[in-house]
Amino acid sequence: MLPHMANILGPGKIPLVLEINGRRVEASAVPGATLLEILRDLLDLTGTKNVCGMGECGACTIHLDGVARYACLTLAVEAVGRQVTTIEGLASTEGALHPLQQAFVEKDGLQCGFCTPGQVMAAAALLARNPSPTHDEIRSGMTGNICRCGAYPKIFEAVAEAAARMKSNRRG
Amino acid sequence: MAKKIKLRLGFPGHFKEVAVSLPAGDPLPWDFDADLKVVGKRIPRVDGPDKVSGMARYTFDLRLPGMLHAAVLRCPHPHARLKRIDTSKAKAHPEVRAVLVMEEKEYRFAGFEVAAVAATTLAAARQALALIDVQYETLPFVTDPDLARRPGAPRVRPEGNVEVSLESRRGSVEAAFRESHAVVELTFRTPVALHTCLEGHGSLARWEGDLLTVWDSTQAVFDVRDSLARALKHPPEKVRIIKDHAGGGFGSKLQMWSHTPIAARLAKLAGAPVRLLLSRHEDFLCTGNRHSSVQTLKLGASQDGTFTAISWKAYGTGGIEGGAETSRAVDGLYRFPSLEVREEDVYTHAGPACAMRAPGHVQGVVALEGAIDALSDKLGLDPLEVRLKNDLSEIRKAELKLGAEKIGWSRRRPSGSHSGTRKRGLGVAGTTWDGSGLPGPEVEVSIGAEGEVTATCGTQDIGTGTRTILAQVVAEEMGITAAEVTVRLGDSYFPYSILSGGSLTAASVTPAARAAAAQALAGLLKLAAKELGERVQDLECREHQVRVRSGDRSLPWGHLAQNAPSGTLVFKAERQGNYTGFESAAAGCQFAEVEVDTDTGEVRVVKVVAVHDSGRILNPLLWESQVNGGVIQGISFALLEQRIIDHRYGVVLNADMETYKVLGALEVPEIEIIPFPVAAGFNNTQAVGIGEPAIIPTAAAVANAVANALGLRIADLPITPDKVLDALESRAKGRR
Repeated sequence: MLPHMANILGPGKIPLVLEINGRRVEASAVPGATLLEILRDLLDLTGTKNVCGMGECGACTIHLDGVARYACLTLAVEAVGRQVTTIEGLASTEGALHPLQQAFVEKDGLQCGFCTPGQVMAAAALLARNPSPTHDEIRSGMTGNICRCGAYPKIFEAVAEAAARMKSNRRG
Repeated sequence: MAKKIKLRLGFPGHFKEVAVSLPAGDPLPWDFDADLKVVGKRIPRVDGPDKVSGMARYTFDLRLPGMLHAAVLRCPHPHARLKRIDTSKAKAHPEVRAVLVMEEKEYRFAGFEVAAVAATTLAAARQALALIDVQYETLPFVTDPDLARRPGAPRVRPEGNVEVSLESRRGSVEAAFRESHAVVELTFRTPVALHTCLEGHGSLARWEGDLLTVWDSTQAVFDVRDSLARALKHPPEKVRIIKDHAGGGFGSKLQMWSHTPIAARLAKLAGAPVRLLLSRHEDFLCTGNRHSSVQTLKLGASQDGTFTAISWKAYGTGGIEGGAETSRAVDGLYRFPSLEVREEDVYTHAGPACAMRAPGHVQGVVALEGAIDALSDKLGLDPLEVRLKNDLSEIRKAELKLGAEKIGWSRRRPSGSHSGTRKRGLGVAGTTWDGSGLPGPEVEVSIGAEGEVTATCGTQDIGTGTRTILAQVVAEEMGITAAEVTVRLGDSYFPYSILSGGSLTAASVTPAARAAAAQALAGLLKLAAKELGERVQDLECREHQVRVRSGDRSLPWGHLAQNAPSGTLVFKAERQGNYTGFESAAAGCQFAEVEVDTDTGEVRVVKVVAVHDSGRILNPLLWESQVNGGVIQGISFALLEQRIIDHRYGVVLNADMETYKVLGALEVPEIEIIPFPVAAGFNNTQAVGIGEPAIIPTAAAVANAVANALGLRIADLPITPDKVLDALESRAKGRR
């Protein structure tokens, strides 16, 4: 049972204190609000996309305490007390690109770009738990994210390239 | 005045001199071997950083102050008439600002719009829909095209459900079949497929006085502007359509759909901006699909495999829309001395079809290439040799030979000769598509006070890389880097462009960009000559400067722009008409290797070799992405995709991304892409589109590979495990 359960019964809006991309954010939403709704509609963090709304496509992938989650299937209240990272907060410095983002650009791991934030977040979670994935591990690690444009071959290349660079960065 | 010139067109080993009439003001086309610095290079897409960082704002990401949210009430019945509607409770909802009842009172598919609501939140808008009291008179319906063709079927249109869309004859097919050494006749079926672009359809409408601005997820800002102006009876110059980034389209965003005028009308009623974003469910029901097909092909050949005649009889349904043709490629791939084509559109009470990446071609090539393999098997000939004997294109013949080598075609065994439960097979198919572009688009190239170069055009980048190739072409012409060119597009207030579809954009827009850039250079030289007191021919443009060739005097571009009355120099050019090309269309072919598990019925595509020409390849990195995308969507169509309607109730059962399956990461095979550069002619960049060619042959090659593996043909797409197992079981029974 969540510690703040008494406060989340509704039916009206409830106060929420979230930690998003390292910042404390106060919001107020109905108990059934998803994290995706909070991010996009209240906080205008629109890099996290809403596509299928049912956990099928991965376009809304974010990190909850460093683990990839679908924001459309995550209630905002579940994120209380945990660290939320979105595509806007992935790079360590604002305005710079994370090695994965850089590799996606260079290898052209995107076309229309709508699934791309989700792909990048899924890849970042994959590399966090497996810094040196094999080609097959990359493919299976990316199965939760649909790309209708069919950028997969170059997405796989981008993930492999980023893994190699991050590894050499750690060494260096 | 047009200028007569000679161009060297073709490809190594097959060049020829072609006399063409170069339109006035058009730069001389780059030669095949031209040493280009920016064009033809693997330059990452210029909007990549914005897209990977979540900064790129798509229509679905936009908000305006005071914006309302809209939702649409849709008819749940496949065919109904409005009996009574009472919106008073919805109007009384405290958060509702506008309610609209549609004029059309007969609803011809499940999902047809009935009424719409704008409210302060989306949740309130949806609640208000439930408050609308509506009664329908349900009417007889038909969603199954086979039933819709029968006499006495419920009518979808007053004129009847069947319309002959295409009919042609050449020679006598009857006589030719009689004289043929072998004839095959097969019936192929392909399902209705859904575009499934990840950004769905949506509009954000705002009125400022009588100026209507709509941010729309579209592939065609000018077409939407004109359609919307007509729908609202509003002057087109008072309608502005903006589309910055688009999350895919694949043909489903080439036309205006009803949500756009609904958003505009609600915004007018409410006196506030209105955003109407369709849900995934609505998107799948209402905003287009690839029409189905049932194609019966009869194909004859002489003993050596030379085709004698083809008969192509087909029908398909695009729901309440027509356009269900499949035979458009019949005269583009192979030579058929005699031919007969008859195609019918069958209207049904289902969501409307529209263009979907190579409409008709994808379906038609499955049938044509399937029939060729069946005929080759019957003649005991290698299907590749049969193709080479009949192919119309020098380019494609060369591509077929190259692709065969890459896939290892010599390994191909006779169909059905594979033992074991994991059977491998090889298949091949060709494509033809005219992606040579259209005249009309205009591009403006401007030079600002700091010397900065901007290219502006009302075209769209739907993920193909239009922004990037425009920057490259302008940069090439002006001797700067692509990063130094800012590209603005996706706005009907910008210079005119055509829709972004049909593999038209690269070939239609880049020649105008190049011509405008050439004009800009000439203009800079002229201005500098005047100021420096030099002759134009003694000057050159380098590194944002005009320099005197002999000496060290120079003027920065920015300085010349500062002297212009507006502080900016603006040059505009229009895409002129096509001139002669080497061949009339792009060719291309793909080879597929599959493995079929006869225990589970599963088909796995192991490898695809895709050999494609598209004139000058402006950016190989982005071009490869297009080819990957075509192949992957083609495999998806061959093996997975199908919209399913329960014909008893006339409703779609899988209008969501859980049950409408598209290919994912695990199923993507190795894709070997072989670019085949051709000096194609047609326009000054010699670019030809690749979007459609890349998808056309894939499903056909996969289906042929499966037939080769099994020794029997699954002619009903998608090739799902149940169909494979059923076919194997029927064959086993037949043998017993």
